[in-house]
Amino acid sequence: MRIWEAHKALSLALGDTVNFLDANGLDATIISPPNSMPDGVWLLHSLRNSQIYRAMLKVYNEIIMSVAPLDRQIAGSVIEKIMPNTILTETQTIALNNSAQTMALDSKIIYLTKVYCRNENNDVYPIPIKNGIEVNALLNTRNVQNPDAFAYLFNVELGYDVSILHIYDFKNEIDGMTAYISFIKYPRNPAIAIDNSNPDYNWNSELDIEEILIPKVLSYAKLYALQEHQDMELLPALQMELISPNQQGG
Amino acid sequence: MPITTINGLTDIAQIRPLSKFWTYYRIASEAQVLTNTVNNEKVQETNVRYHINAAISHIADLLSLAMEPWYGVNIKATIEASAHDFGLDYVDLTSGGNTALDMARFLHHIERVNIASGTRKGNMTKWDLSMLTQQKSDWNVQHAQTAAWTHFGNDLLLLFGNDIESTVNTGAASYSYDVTSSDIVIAAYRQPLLDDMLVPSTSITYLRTKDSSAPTITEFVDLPDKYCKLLIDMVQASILQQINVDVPKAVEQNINQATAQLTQMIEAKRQFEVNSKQGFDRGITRLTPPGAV
Repeated sequence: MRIWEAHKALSLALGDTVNFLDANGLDATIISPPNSMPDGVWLLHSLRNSQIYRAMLKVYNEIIMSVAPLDRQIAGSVIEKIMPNTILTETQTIALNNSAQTMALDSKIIYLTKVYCRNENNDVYPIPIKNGIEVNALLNTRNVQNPDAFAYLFNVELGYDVSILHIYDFKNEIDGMTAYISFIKYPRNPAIAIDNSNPDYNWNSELDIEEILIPKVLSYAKLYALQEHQDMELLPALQMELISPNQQGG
Repeated sequence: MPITTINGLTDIAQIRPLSKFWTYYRIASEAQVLTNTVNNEKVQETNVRYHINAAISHIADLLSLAMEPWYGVNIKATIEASAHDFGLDYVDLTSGGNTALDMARFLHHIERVNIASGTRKGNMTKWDLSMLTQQKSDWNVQHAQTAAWTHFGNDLLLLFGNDIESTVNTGAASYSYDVTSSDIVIAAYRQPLLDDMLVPSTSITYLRTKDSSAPTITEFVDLPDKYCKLLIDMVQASILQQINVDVPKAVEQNINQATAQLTQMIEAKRQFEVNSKQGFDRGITRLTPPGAV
């Protein structure tokens, strides 16, 4: 679903009106996307952007929280199952320095699903992903059993769209290989898609979330809009809709 | 150099491992497949290699206690040129610092000792250490022609009766025998060879050789193939222990059965030794009579 479609759907769901007419009085959205997003009677488009973005984060939040107690491996595979089209894979060449490498990934990562390396013969070396506590344990000097190479996602300063991945390899086994890092990143905020001349991201771009999750995004966006307007009449029905099991996972 | 050869070899590393098919890599691979831990998320390759080493040591220990032939070696040595602190002749099993032949750390136990060169050949009798020191006396006439041994620490202690010329026994006008430069041949059980635990790029034991290419001899585990199922079961149990998962009953049973069999063999062997000793006490003997060299 495109961004302007989501706006239209949200406006209509709220009983708001949106002016999409072109100069000839035709519905511009049928022919082409609007050049600018019209405001509704109730809600400015910037408010709708905020509601849609918050709804997207809420959906991600629900997914992440539901897999949080799971083993990382199982959690990764659940996420890849739910959002197969959202998984990104970045490749980097391993160049170890003192058995370790710090990689900057050009995305703000929500969840790292898998890391593996390949050598020139395409032999695959899976790299387990560990958390900070586990990394401490693996680096324990009292243990002579060096682990296989492992990866550790490190947080970065807020506000940077970069994630830092540490890779440790005390066996010097994967040096020079290509690392494949798969993850889901934070969705793009529709509020950034202001300039319709930007070919990369504009009103006509797809909403940056797995398509199957969009119904749930719109439901949450509607909830936030109604909460903001304190429209108590519609709220209970909508809350039922969000809680209903049929709506789980979109 | 008191120890000259082991199985005719001059380096422990030249001993060939016992398996015909199972390499360290294949054992690790099989155990990881069976425990569903091939993806190294929780169980690392190094851990499995340590489990294999520990299990091989354990099985080899049982086999050698049962005096199965697999780990038997014959060590050729000569008597040291100086006397031992006890005043006995001896063979230094650390081989004077030659690590290639350092048997002191490689031995499981010594079974028999022979003198096997020159004009005098024969079995040496195993005595207790206190017996050896007691009989090391200038007034010892009864055992004047006895040759006896015991394994104590890093040394193989040897007693030669007063009628046998050796490093210790010198100065008499005449001796019936001279073993000063004789070869001592030791029938012993060795420890198994183990994975060197080096990373696969430098290891000579753990090479991740794919089955399409022929593994080199050092990659094979030092355990007869027929005991490799037991080895895999034990490694499986160790892996599951490592990740706090219950060991399946079938695996536990297999391990218990196989080790019980080995324990029975050990008991049978012990019983045989006891019977021989009892027969000896009654004068029925298969053993060499005292005095024979």
